[in-house]
Amino acid sequence: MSNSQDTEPSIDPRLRALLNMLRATPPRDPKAEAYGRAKYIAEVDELFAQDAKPISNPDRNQLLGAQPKQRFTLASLRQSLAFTTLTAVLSIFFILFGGASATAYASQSALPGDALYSLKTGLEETQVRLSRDAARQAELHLDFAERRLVEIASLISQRRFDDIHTATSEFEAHVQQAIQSLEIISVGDPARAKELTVQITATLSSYSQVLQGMLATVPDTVKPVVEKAILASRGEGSNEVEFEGTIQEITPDGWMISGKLVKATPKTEIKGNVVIGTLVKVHAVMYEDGSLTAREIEAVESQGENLNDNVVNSNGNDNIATGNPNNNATVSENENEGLEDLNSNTNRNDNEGEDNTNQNDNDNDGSGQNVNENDNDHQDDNANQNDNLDEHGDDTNDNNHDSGGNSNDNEGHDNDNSGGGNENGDD
Amino acid sequence: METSIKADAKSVTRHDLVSLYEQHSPGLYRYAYRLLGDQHMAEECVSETFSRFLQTIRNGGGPNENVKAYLYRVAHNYITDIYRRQPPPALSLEEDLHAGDQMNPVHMLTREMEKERVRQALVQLPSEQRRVITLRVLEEWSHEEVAAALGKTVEATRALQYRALAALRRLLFEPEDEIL
Repeated sequence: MSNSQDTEPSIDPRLRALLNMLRATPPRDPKAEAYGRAKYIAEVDELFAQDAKPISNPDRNQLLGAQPKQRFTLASLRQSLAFTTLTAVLSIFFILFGGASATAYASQSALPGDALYSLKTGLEETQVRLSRDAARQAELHLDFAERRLVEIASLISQRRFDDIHTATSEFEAHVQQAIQSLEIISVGDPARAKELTVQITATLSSYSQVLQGMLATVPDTVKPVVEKAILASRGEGSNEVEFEGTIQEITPDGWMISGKLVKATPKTEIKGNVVIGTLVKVHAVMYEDGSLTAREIEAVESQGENLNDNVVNSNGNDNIATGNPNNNATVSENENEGLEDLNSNTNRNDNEGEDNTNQNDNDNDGSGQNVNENDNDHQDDNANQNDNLDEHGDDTNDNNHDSGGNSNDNEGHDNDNSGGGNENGDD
Repeated sequence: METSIKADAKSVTRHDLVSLYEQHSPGLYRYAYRLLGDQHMAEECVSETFSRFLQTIRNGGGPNENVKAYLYRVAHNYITDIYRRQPPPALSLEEDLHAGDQMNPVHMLTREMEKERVRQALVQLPSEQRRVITLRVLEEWSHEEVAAALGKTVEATRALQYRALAALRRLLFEPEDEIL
């Protein structure tokens, strides 16, 4: 603020030159600046909001020469934060400063466990999706991995150790994806891949160092997740695996899928209606310690929709109960747009109860053939329905039911209901 | 405005707190940027510094010294923590290449690397030495201001600065005998 340079003849000019290089600072990003200010003001308001009854203190120092309009006892402020004020102020800020983008900016400093965190990672995902170039994707993944490191550091400094695992597993996922992108590049452009490998290796090794440094600062319970992240940053210890299994249990620790514990993170893509008992296909990353973190869990639906494929769906259901509304589980839908495809749906139901429904739907746009077969062992009131929406091919519907309740709708040909009281809607 | 919020102060007004922010946030940002070399981190530092400031007030009273010195000390600690937690960040090419650096890329890169080297050297200085250099040389505070911030006499501050410059010179120009 005052006379410094000229009164400092003792500074070595070379040193002075080096230090002067640091003096230039880029202008502040106006949005970041406005956000920081809004955040601070929100925090100030929060501070005041906590003590609704102003208590005047006659002995207080008149500080800062300002008008003491609002007086309050700071010492008595409770730790429980009144979030309403904060939210209100921030909302106004967002409206003023460009809505979505400001929110997006605000989310940039969000940490795992914060309300805006999913927005932050969502934006990142979008960014990756928007970039077609694998090299750029690798770069983005590395950047995002680095952000996770910064988050981990912030979580450590705020002693929010419980949220660290979210950041570490995201870190691992990004490292993994960066490496995958690299593999893609190496197919098309080995020279570029080689170049990138050098870069990525260097970056990853610096990440690994950062994590090593963090290891000492976290409690023992959190160490394993950090260690896992270190392994990932060395490009070791993890492997993509794929398997099918049935969901047995969903707990906070993870999903039990056919005896394997699979961890799910917010990044895990869940596809289809996934509940206990669902048969699912799991894409997971396996770590050296054998633990699995799912990248994707996808329901292998019995009502699978097969596009442009020659697919045979075969459902086997046993219904012992009576009045089992089992029709959904035995619906098979096939859709083919190609020529000469064969759709074959076979429902073999042993229905010992009544009122069961079997349904097959086939749709061939090409001149394919549809074959539907339903078997009901029970005599009464089971409905088998086969729909073939095929205009061309030879379709076969077989309903082997002893009594009524079978119907076939064919726009193709050749329906056969061997049970009694059945209807064929054959065109 | 050489203000202080004394520890026995029970209250301040909202207006006071806001005007403190207006007054010190730009300077703190520059201070943080110079040492961190990253705009985002510098903003974080400013934000964190003021949050801690409010926290101190909330927990009963305020800093027992002048507010400016207090804020720069908190920022200093925050930056020290960052460096302690993470070894030198990988040199990022995107950062720091702000308008004005319109030289050729090689020069730009060299310059950025050189700046990073200076930052690293500063970080290696003992805490007080670093504070005296940053406040005195980078922020151009007067000896008196620095002395007040460090809680030392002006003479002691001068001596400290002398030692700090010597140490920095060794770190930057004689890296082979880096024994600090």
